Amino acid sequence: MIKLENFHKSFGSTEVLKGVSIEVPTGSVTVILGPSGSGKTTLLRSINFLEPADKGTMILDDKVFDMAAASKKEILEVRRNTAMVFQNYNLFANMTALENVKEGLVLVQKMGRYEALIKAEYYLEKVGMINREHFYPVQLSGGQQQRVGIARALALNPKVILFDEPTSALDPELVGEVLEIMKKIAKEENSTMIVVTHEIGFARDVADQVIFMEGGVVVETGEPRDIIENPKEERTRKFLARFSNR
Amino acid sequence: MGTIFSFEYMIKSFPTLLSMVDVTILVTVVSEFFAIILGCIIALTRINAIRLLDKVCAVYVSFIRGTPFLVQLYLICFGMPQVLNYFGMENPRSIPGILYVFLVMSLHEGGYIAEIMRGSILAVDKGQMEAAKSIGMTGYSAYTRVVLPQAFRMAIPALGNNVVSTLKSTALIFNVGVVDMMRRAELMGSFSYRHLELYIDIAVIYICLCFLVQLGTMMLERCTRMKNSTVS
Repeated sequence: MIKLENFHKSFGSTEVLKGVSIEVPTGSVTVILGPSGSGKTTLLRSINFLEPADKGTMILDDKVFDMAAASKKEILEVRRNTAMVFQNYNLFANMTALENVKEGLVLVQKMGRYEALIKAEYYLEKVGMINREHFYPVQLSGGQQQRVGIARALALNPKVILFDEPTSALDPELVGEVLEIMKKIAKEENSTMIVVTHEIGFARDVADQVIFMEGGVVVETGEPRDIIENPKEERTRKFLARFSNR
Repeated sequence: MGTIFSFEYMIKSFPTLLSMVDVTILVTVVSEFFAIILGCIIALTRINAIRLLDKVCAVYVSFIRGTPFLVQLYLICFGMPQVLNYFGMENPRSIPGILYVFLVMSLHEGGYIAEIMRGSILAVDKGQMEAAKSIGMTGYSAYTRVVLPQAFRMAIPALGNNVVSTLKSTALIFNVGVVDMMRRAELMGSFSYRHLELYIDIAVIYICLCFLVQLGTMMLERCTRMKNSTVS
């Protein structure tokens, strides 16, 4: 289980998170929806300290972290128990697909070379990228890069995987392949996932919990059916209306 | 004095001068090696804004870039023994001159490489560092495994330039008593009075060396780019 309590974050005088609290049960998929600038990406990035929160407490399984006063060791511990899939993939440009997945296993988890190879290939197979394992990121399409990015995150067996708008940078025809993989791992791997996305369909089909954020606060939380088809809050309704009109 | 130019003397002296080329190459290789290490350390210190140390590095770089190489050479080679002496060293002049030269050139080129590397490291996409951190790499691993390899690839042309300039700067080290091609040419010239031939020889040797460095740089660039080109 991962639980965030009272997250605050400001950039200069702009308050981006105004006391956000969420709870994600182990093995469940939580989708965070909301307009641009609502703070959803910042929230996600504050979980693994890429954008350290000014205030807040995080409970990861049974460990408690004070986000504003975490030591270097604690930050490393959180990062080693989480993984992130980025909007711009951020595969290591100097490594092949296989090396990208293997790197964390060997360097961070101190796994043996052979063991790491087997594991990396297992996850590349899972995302359908095994036939491209020796390709460098520039030789892959956006969708393929993102699938490798997902394999890299999965292979680490993190307690939670953070997806930061994983399909926003993709050409429309490539979005599907990445969403398919995400659905597949949600089902097969039983991973705890927090997904920031604009894909309402994905939220409806896959999420166990949907959180709607706006203006740095959580507006509404609930089951996807309730939030998406039957939102209680006016702001949620307005936001979703734009999608159903398309 | 007979002929204005003795082609024969030029050819005859060439092997003698060429036999001193090892000093030039040694100084270039050793100082470039330490300069790259120093340059990276300075660049990382400044990028990560390490308190106080980054200011020291900034001053250092501007000193190196703001004073002539010859002044730095004299400062270290003639000035440092004086300091060492003061601090109780018996006979600092007994330290071989070439060690002082290694030091000056490493410090000098290090200052320039610091700026080259700083630019290249900043040019690596920020997401690379974030991805490295997100999988739990330490800062050290993130730099050595992900950021620096990419920065170096971008820095190759500029570093190649730097090697060429180091190579040419070695023509000044005879000023502090290190015997290299220049010193040998000076000695030979004082006997034969045929400076023109000797310095043409030296120019030819330097041109060839620089050409080799440029060739090496180009090849290095090509084989690191290979990894990045689109082949399927």
